[in-house]
Amino acid sequence: MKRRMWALTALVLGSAHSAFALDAAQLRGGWVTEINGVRHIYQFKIRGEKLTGVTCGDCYDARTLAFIDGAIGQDGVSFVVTHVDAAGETTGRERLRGTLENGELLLSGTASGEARPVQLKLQRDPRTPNGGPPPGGFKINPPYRQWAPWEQLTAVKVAGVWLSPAGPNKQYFFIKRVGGKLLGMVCGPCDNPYNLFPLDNFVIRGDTLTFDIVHEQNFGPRARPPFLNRTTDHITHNEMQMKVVPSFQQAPADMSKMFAFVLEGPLTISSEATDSQ
Amino acid sequence: MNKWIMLAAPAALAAVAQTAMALDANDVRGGWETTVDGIEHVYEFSIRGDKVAGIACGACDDATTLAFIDGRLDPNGITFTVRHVRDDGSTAYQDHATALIEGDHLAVSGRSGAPGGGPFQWAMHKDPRGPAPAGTLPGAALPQVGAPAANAAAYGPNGQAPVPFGPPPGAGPARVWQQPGPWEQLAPAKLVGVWFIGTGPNKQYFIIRKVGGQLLGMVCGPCSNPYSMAALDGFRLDGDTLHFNIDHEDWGFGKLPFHNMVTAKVTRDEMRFLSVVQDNLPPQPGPGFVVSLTGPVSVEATAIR
Repeated sequence: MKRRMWALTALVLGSAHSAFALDAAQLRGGWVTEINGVRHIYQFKIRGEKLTGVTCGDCYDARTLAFIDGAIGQDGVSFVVTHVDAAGETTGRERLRGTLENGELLLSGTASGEARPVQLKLQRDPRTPNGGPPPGGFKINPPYRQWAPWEQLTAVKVAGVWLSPAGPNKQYFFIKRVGGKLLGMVCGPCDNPYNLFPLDNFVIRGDTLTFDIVHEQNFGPRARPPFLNRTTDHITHNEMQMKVVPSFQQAPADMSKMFAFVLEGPLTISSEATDSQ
Repeated sequence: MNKWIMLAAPAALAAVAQTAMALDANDVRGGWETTVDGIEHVYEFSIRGDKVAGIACGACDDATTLAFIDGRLDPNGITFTVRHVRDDGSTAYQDHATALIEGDHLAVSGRSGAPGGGPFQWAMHKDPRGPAPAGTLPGAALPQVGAPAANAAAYGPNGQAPVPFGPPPGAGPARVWQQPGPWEQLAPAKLVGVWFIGTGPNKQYFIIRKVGGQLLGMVCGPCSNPYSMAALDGFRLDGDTLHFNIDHEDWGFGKLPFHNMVTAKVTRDEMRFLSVVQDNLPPQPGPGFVVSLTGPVSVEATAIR
């Protein structure tokens, strides 16, 4: 009995040591790799041992967006990448395990429909975040004025691509149905993992949508990653008004004082393809 | 030949000619609206010679209501069909109607081909508000000075009045636009849907739909005012370049009617108007009005009611 107790303690200590060895800070955030000549991005959110996030190929193309669900274990990470169709049905899965070696994330596993195992070497993007909040935070001028009644929301009404103003730094909010829930990603420019954030914790109540923008890495001088930008959103006439409060700040008592901006959409996912259709 | 017949024939011809003159295209071109049993109906007629085209819609910012007019102008009025299409461009059903001016309104009678449809009779009017404010340039609305519009009563006091232009609230200096990606090869499937300029109640909706083998559409904003509405036609794709026309019938800059000839390209969900040239003006230096549209949002995603 005593021997068993010692063994159990050693096992627990060993497990704790391994978990510390693979520090979440080393892993969280964005990684890039090239698959068949196409740049792929993996973006990991880590809370405790729980690992979630997103991955995409040409990340401007919402069709490539898939969702990560897994854990940090003693030997590294293990997760499943789930690909879905417009109805939220699963169209494919990849099961991957990975370890950190010399600043690179080495992944191996299997993909549904693929006979050969996958071997991937992921690296950090050598670039830095593009943009981020300016000193004093974002400002909106002129403030958005509600000009029509907010519409009752459903998952179907919300799913799709929502865009902020035009140009190369345009923000793409991808919202997809995944089984019975909504998940997504925001990016812009979408080829830089520092500018790419998972969206989760979607809740719809009547005419109000709430969800979180997951910030895992550095993003401007006032940010304190990891943190969440908690959004409260309403829709009218294909405009989504989004109000945002970082999780490290108290929400102002007056909602009109919150940072807010407007998105247009939802574009259908298939229209995101940049190739000729 | 009977002398009486000989005498009667010229008289009959003269009467027909007089009727045709009475129904000038300017009497009926442009937008008309009515609400029947709480349902909005809008017709926008584009008329060139005796050819009538244009669009019809209900709540016009709901692109699922957009349908397409094809008809003829003759001395007795307009005889036309309204073609309602499915997403693939096939015809779902057609309405058949005639329209003529009666006093200050357009009298429309016809038969709806919609499921459960039947005969209808509407008295349609010009929007009493006149054109909505837009931009900072002086605009014009029918009837114009010198234009042979006989039904001035239909236009009310706004017909001749200058549009109350002014900069939109909070407008700032235009941003420098940077092309976000390479121009994309175009195909109808890439264009069909709704493209937006701006946000808010004056947002512009460019709705493009497949109609048989061609593309047709409508721009509006605000979409509750038929003066702020124009049919889109003349779509032509050439590799990565799109050409189409915006038909101005009863409101615009300069002599009416005219059309804006648009040349556009698409990249990363933006349609960039590279040039917009009015066919009623001499060639102007520069590309004219350039702007970016965001889209396409699916037609169904605009159906909010």
